[in-house]
Amino acid sequence: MKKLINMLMFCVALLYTSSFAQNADYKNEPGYIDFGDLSSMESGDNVTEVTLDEKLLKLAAGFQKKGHQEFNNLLSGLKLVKVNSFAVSPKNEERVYNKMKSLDQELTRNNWSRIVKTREHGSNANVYIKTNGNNNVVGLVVTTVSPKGEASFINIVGNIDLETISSLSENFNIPSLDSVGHNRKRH
Amino acid sequence: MKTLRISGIILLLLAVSFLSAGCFDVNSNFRNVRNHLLKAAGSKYEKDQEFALGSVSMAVVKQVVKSSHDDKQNIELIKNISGLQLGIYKKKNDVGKAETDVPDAESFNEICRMMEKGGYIKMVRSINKNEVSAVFLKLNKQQNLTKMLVISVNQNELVLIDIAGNLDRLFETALRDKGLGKLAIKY
Repeated sequence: MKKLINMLMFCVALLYTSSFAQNADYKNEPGYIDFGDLSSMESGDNVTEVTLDEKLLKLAAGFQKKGHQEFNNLLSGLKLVKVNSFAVSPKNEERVYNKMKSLDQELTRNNWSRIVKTREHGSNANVYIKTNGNNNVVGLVVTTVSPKGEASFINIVGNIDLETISSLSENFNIPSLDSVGHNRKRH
Repeated sequence: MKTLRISGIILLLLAVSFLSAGCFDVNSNFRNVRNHLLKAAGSKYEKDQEFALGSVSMAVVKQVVKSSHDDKQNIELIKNISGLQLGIYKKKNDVGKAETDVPDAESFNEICRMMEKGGYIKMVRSINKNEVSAVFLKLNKQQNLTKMLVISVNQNELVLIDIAGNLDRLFETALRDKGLGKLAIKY
């Protein structure tokens, strides 16, 4: 009986670890950031959440074989693209700004470099990058918020080429990501 | 007389194989998601179409498509589908269309969480005033895409699609044609 219980416990432990192994791949990457539960902040309108892990990105790269080598190279180096965007209303405005502020503190504390910071008529946009020892960009975070507009939280993990990252937005129709290239050009 | 008997046997065999392969009736997982969605939408939708095609039915569909000289790409896509469950639920006639009947964000997020607990990966989640939608995926151990579940609810209808098979190609095509931002909304 004891043997049976031990075996059962072993099976449960195995199932537990294997079920989390799939998600853990990108969570251990230095460029990964956990935004926490953003759904509690959503005001129930214009909510878009997109999560593409390495496998899905490779699949997506498959259809770009002809003539889009640059974009294909960009995708093959990525491990995760995560986009959260939602409407900002007076109900959630304060919490969204606070979230942006706490993320800013967390990122700078963890050696992320803020490469873009804009403040315009209450609208805020920040772009951060994380580099490895060879000065390659391995993580990108974009946070944007505009009052009575939209808030976006974007995390891209993997080997990132900042020059071509905005093509993700064009090719995948991912909302808000085009702001990365746009903001970069302005600064 | 002989031809009649042979036809009868073929029909009987077909009926048995259809039933044994779980054809026509959607499975318990599909029913569970459907029930949660209908409940979250205030039970204002009624069944318009609901069916499942198992491996045997899909083999028949593949033969029909093959003989119809359809686009090669479509044939290739259908060839890799082993099962399909579809549910379309229309707004009840006695319910005014002015009402906001789509599930609220909280209920919809709850359904999304339920799907994730069931082993699905949430790829896209979109919530708007008059429409909510989501795309969930399941990968096998070899990291092949084996299941795709699409939920789309608007003020007129509630659509639930569950596709099983080797879906890598289908995913590529959907991504190429729709882009991620529109993938969930336009299904």
